[in-house]
Amino acid sequence: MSTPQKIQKAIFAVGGGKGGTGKSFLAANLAIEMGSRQGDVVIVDADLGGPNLHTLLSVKENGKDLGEFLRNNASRLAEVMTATPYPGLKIIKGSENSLFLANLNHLKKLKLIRQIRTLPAESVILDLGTGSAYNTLDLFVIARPGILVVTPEPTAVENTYHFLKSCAVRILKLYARYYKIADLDQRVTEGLESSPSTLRSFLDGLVSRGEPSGQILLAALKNFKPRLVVNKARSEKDGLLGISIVDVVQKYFMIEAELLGTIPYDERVHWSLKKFAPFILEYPESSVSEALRVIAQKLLPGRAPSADKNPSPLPV
Amino acid sequence: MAKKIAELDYYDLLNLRLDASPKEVENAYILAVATYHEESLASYGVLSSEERRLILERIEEAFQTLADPATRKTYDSALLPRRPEFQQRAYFRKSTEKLEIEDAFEEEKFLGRCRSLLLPFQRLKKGSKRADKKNGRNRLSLESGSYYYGEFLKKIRQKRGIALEQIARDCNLSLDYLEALEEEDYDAFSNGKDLSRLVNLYAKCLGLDPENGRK
Repeated sequence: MSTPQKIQKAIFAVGGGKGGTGKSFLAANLAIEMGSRQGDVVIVDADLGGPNLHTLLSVKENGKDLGEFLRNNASRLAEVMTATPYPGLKIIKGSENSLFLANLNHLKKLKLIRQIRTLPAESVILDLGTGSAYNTLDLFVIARPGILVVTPEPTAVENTYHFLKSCAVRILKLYARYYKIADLDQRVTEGLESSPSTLRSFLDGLVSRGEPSGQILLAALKNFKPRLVVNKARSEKDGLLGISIVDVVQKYFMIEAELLGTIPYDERVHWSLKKFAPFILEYPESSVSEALRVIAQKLLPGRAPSADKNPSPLPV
Repeated sequence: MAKKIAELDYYDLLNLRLDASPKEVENAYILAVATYHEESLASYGVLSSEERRLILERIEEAFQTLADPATRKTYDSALLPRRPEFQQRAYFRKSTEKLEIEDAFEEEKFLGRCRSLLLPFQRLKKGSKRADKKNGRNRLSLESGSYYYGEFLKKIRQKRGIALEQIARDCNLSLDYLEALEEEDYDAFSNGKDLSRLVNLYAKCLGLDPENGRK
């Protein structure tokens, strides 16, 4: 068996705090579209709340899944890839044992991240599911880019901000530990994790006290550039919501987010799920499918950036 | 170094380019108020009362300054030394009475020259797009259409502390229709023309100019 080569690839992660916003729907349909455009796409079901991608992509149960790799029954992640009925697309099914994945130890998580980065594929899409567990956050942060999915509802917006804040705190703490900046870890815990204050007010406080750590923390966030998708938009104003959220994130989370697109609400999504038929293939002329194609097109040209100039906070 | 909200210039605050049209300024203002209003979905659960009050004040200042051509010109003159990437190139520098080579337009090909002659006002100003790329801001073009949504206009009215009854009196508009407009209950209007007329009147009463950028 030949040694797998390290291939430059794009890694997209679809995540966000709230359930039901359409993350798996987006991940599955984007994967199909990207697979048909460029081929060589792998989608990984890392949903800790319960894997669904195999259902959305009509992949039968066959025993090979992420859990096999994590339990060391497979030495490489690529060994648990499964073909799908769709051209250019393979899947790594989620583990039935979601508790196991949610409680990965540090070494297993680093092994997983290394293997994702060296998967023999041009693009990798991670479906992270809901929640802000550390493992979910770490998988989101390593993506270039991570994609947040939000719907125009207060609970979804609130959870999105909570997820972003969790990502930022995670980056800041890892950065502080990695570069051994004394006390910063503790300050971040006290100033952000245990407090409702925004990142802006926390950083403004550091800067106003003349502490250089404020600049260090800003530098840590500089490479974190998530994308946003507004799903189930029912009006033109819902489309503007994405622009507003990006502005709030830039001004109060000190994060350069970007709106990737807005997907309109369509009742037929429900019917396509019941039929186990991917929406983009079932209703290719719909405005939802058009929005998905636009999003896929935006992601494809910017793929596979060359080696980061700034080191990742996750030493692998 | 990240600037505090109070230190952001008006263009950064509203995500505008220096050459933003009056309609873009207005749309950006409406969207900003809709974003940071206390009932806004976009900023739900994020800002403290004080943070919200501060940014809404700045947004209002920004709009009042940039919406008036005279105050905008004064503001731009004061801003340019701090924002060199916004520098407008001088096509003809009067002091030396020479055309600065570095400021000259790039040599145009034949079709480009024809286009320039036929459509003189569409000539691309050198450096205007580069400025945005250089300072890394993602400045969206908001010129298309109008943001006169009932919900947004309501937020502006509330932010300015104006009662709806006052609008109805000052602008001689029906209170019932204004309420329906703010709730976006468009069934209350007999036809699109009534709605459009009422929206424009209401916007004018709030100091917005429906004529901005009208095509």
